[in-house]
Amino acid sequence: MSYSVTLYTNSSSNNTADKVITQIGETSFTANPTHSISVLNPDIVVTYDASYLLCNYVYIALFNRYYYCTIETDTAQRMILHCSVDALTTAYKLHSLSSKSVSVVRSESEGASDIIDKSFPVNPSKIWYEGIVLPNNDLTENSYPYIISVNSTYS
Amino acid sequence: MQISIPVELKPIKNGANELFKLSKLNGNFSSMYNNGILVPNVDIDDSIFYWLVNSKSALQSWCYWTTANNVRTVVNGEGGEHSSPIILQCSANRSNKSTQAEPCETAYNEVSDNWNSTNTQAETTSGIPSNFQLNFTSTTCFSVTGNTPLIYKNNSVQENLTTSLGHFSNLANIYDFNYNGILLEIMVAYNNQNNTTISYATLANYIANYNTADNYICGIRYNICFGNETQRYESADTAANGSYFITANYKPIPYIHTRMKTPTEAAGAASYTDAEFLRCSPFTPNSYSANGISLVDYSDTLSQASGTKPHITSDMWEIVQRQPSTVQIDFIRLKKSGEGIYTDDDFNKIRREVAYLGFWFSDGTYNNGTFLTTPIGENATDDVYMSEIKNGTTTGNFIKGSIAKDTEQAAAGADWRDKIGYNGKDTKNQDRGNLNTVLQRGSITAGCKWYGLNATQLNALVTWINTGYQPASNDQFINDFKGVNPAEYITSVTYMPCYPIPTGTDEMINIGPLSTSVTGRKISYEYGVLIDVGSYPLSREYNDFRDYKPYTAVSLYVPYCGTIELNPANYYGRTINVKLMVDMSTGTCTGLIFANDMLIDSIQGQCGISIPLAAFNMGEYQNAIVNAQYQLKQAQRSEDAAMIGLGISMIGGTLTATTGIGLAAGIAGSIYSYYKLTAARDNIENIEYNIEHMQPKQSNISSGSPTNSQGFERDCRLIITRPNDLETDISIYGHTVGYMTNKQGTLADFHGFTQCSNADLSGIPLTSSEISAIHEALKKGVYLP
Repeated sequence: MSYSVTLYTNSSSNNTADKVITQIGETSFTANPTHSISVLNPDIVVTYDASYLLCNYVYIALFNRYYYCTIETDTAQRMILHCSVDALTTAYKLHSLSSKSVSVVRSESEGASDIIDKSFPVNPSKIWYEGIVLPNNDLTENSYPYIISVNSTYS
Repeated sequence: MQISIPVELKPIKNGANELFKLSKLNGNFSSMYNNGILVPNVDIDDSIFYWLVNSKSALQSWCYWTTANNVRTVVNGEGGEHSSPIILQCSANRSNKSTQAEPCETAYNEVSDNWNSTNTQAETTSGIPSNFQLNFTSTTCFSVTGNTPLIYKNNSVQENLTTSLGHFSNLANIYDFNYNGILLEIMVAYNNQNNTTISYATLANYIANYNTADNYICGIRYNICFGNETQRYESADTAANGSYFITANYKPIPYIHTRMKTPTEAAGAASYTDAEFLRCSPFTPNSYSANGISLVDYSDTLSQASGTKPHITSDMWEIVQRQPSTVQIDFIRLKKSGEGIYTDDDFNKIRREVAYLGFWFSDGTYNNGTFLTTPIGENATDDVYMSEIKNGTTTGNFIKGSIAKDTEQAAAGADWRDKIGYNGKDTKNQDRGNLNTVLQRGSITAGCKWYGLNATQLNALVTWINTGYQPASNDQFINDFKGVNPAEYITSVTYMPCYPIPTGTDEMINIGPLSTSVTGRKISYEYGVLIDVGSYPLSREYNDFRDYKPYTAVSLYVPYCGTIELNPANYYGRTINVKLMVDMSTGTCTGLIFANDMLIDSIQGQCGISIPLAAFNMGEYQNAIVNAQYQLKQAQRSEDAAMIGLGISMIGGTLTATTGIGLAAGIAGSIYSYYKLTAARDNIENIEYNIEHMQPKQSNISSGSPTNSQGFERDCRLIITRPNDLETDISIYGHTVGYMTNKQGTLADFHGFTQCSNADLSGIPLTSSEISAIHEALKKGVYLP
């Protein structure tokens, strides 16, 4: 039985949830009913097409998953796609990962300014000083420096 | 619905048009953005936001609105220079998008203080005649990659916002002008009881002159005042430091009406609710004449297209019918809570409306020919108010300038600009309860008088005590001083060269009942306890965690006490006040460090040198006299009885002074010595002699030990140490490492690099190993759109 596989070029890093992928073709592969095929790491064989050499990412409808892939070719005009599931993007694109509740500790968009960030490149060995003399000082040199108290019982 | 303005705004990346710097008002607004790009067709219901436009030259009589994104923008105001900046008010309607009949009921323009009826038509699906449309046309409008925000006029493109060098070229971030030289001046329109006149005044002027039973406030507007005169009409004054905020030549620029609402339904617009108004009444109705009588027509402010009346915030405004009613017209006016007049509560409602906009504002900037010169920000006075912003959102509360100036919000200034992530956004102004420290000052010991003396006076006094008093007899001495050593009347002598001596004239010093002819400056106890030694409003440098320990250390040198380390978190946004609590008799002091009026830290010290007195014991002295007299009688009765005599020696008696800071003196004690007489007869004369010459002990003033504290600085000095950044270019730090946070939500709430401590991934139909892989990825950090 023949199954569809969509071939893409992925330009995003592996830790990108919503990968930017450009479709470069669509082909099919045949699953041999006597051989098992891994859902998470399938190796599939497709007919050779030079344009597919740009493929590094596929979607296999049969498994409803996105995969990273590497390509092998053989002399029989076949291409073997070694696929490895991309669970992150699969969940994001197909299973509404973005709606899941999370507790975020680092964020590019929602940083909280006053939480100490030990990763931040601060050099504690190079400090700079700021000296501020406080204004409004009532202490002034006076001409009556001797303060005496006198018993005034009889005065 | 709370109408408020968050000011946590993100700078635009990649130099994109500053139109991104919008201010949101309500919950869903943030979803409009996709990494800084405005996304169409998201629900931004009930949102109203504001843009500052650099120039309004071509915006007169225009109404801007959008079709694709339901952002309805209205330009109000006229009367200033055409090149002057304006604020655009934008509202988002609810559900009916571009077919909304009346998204902007306030599509009015005011000319010469009267409504211009040419722009009062309700919007239709084809747009308001002669009005403009701000059309966010594509899915990534405002993008720098080619999608273009456009201004439309009558459905024809008028201006490309991305490339415009015109009046949209310098849209300003709301918080830029919040802290950089814009102040709103509140103006009110008021009418008379019969509603036949309409007049205008600043709120301050109204309060002072027109708050009478015959006058009612029927509208609010606010003038936008820029600071620097030379920049007044050209741009937001980003360089203004507040020192020249309002100049004598200040002129108001176009005012902004607050007549805005967001409809809840589609065409017909019959269902407006109170909450959907911008909380203020309409302003400036038409004047007209009917039956020969000048009247003011509020009908267009009351009647929508369908003839229904607008709803208003009923706790603030009321709709009444004009009396007498030649022409039946209802009108809106501010409720009065006083007896025929408005009270402070009423005026505060007006101020709150303005405070919701997030600007500094004033009741009035001109009074009887005098222009205010008060600054805003850290040096504000009570002539202005600061709109409170908490957690990035205006609250409607406002704070008097003199108090607001000490807040972090006021002090932050332009430092908040152009920073991502570690931007300050929380005023931290959340102190509760009565935090003022009220010191219970003790009074000086009863029966004592306090004097400040100079060296000459002190010398004279000591001389008088030592040699100046010469009693004719022992009885006279005892009578004069009540049996007390004259030096004993001096209960303390303290050298305090920095003590703040009160002004006034010197008084004669009495020792016992006798006048010494020596004068000194009388000190009342109020002067003796608490001395202000400095104050300083402490503000943050980085506006992020680096302002705190252990990154930033703050120490304070307190004169006569030494140095104390302060926790800067206790003092940021507040004024450090330092006082010395002085014990005048011993010279000891306590440095008290306040955050505003709240006592936080203290440190002990010594601000004076206590000059020791002789260890004279009056009781011993009197016993000696009695005993001697008794023994004399015994000797007279029994000549061979043994007597015990008493001798007194004196030691010293001169004032010795040292130079410099060690100029101090001490009084050393004299001693008593006893003489035992074995031959009474032989000693009667001696005893008589001794009694005759029984002088109280005299004091010796000698040099005191210099006290080191006298030689140190007499000003308080803050020493702040701050770290240097290891790398000065941290522009991609947030994108690659992420800023620390502790927020919860869905992943859709976050963008860019995001690292999670945990995630609830239930419901995702993947294998456990895949779920684990996702967990692992989220913990390491992923990029979200």
